[in-house]
Amino acid sequence: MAWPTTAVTTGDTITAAQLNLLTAKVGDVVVVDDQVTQIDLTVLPNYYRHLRLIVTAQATAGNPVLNMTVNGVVTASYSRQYLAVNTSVLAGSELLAATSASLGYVPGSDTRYWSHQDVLFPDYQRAGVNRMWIASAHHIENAIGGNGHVGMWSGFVDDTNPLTSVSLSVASATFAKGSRIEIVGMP
Amino acid sequence: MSWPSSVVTTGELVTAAQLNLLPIRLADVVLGAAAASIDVTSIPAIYSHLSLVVTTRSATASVDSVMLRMNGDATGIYYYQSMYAKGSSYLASEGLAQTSMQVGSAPGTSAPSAAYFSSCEIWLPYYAGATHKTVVSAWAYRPSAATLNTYVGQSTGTWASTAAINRLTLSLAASNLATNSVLSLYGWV
Repeated sequence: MAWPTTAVTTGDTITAAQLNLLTAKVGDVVVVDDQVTQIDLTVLPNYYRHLRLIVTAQATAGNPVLNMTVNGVVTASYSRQYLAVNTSVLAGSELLAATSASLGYVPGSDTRYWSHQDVLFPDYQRAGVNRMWIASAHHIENAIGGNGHVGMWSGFVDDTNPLTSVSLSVASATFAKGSRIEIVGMP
Repeated sequence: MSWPSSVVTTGELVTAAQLNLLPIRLADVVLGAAAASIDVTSIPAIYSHLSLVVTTRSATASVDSVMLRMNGDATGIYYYQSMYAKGSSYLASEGLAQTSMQVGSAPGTSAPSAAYFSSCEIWLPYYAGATHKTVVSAWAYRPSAATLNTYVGQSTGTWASTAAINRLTLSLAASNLATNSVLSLYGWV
């Protein structure tokens, strides 16, 4: 018996195989100016079972949709569904045969406010399985009533290639300085 | 102050107690052939929480419910509630005194291709405690490319047992899990 079946005890030798069982942050992209129209994550590691993106973002204007494409696919092969609430209004929405998939919204009308998106790509290297993700998305647009949003978003793309790249953009705007995407590998 | 309250610096000795704070994978199963279930046994009780990441597909049904059972307990003490959306509709369902807990749904043979799978993330907080066990899951699946067939949802459930969870069994309600269904189990301190 050995870690992680039992706890580590002083004197144990920790092997590479054991260290490879740890969840780890494998990337961190921070936008350094306000002119970035698209964030491309092109060096995704291929040795984890699942991959997670933690997005904290702000736009330079409006309250735009956060759009995502994967593996450079820009054909009309994305579908997404959300269940979200804004103030007291619960809503569902479906989008099929789109050229990208949305992941909620990003505030841009008040520089104090940021979005949070947690995006899980399960089994992201599996050949023969369509890439898919499930996300939670949250943001407060500004301090005016009626501008809080929280929801769940699912997405699918008809692409069975292992996930090698992710691109994020905000519609009709750019990312604000300080927008950030962390990549977490789950073995 | 030392890791993880501060960052590790070169030359520091990392202790066993510090390593025991790390989230770690406890099991990872990829089905090489269709099977009735994925069974993870002998789950150690040394963590605070467990999480699962699951991808599933039915080998024989058009759509099926993804079910989770604890400690092999098939008595009717599972209770769950789900909410989900398809299209502009949002719906809910409940299960009372069931023999396992629904944590999601899976596409199957009616999907346009064998590439259609579901995704699900499940949390089991304080799984080794002496209270009834709570489960929370977020899930998504798409059984068809047609309208009103892309789903997202969330479920919660209770296994009304005070036993520590030492075994988790993932299955579908009425069919076999397809090849390439995956279950990964993580321990969180």
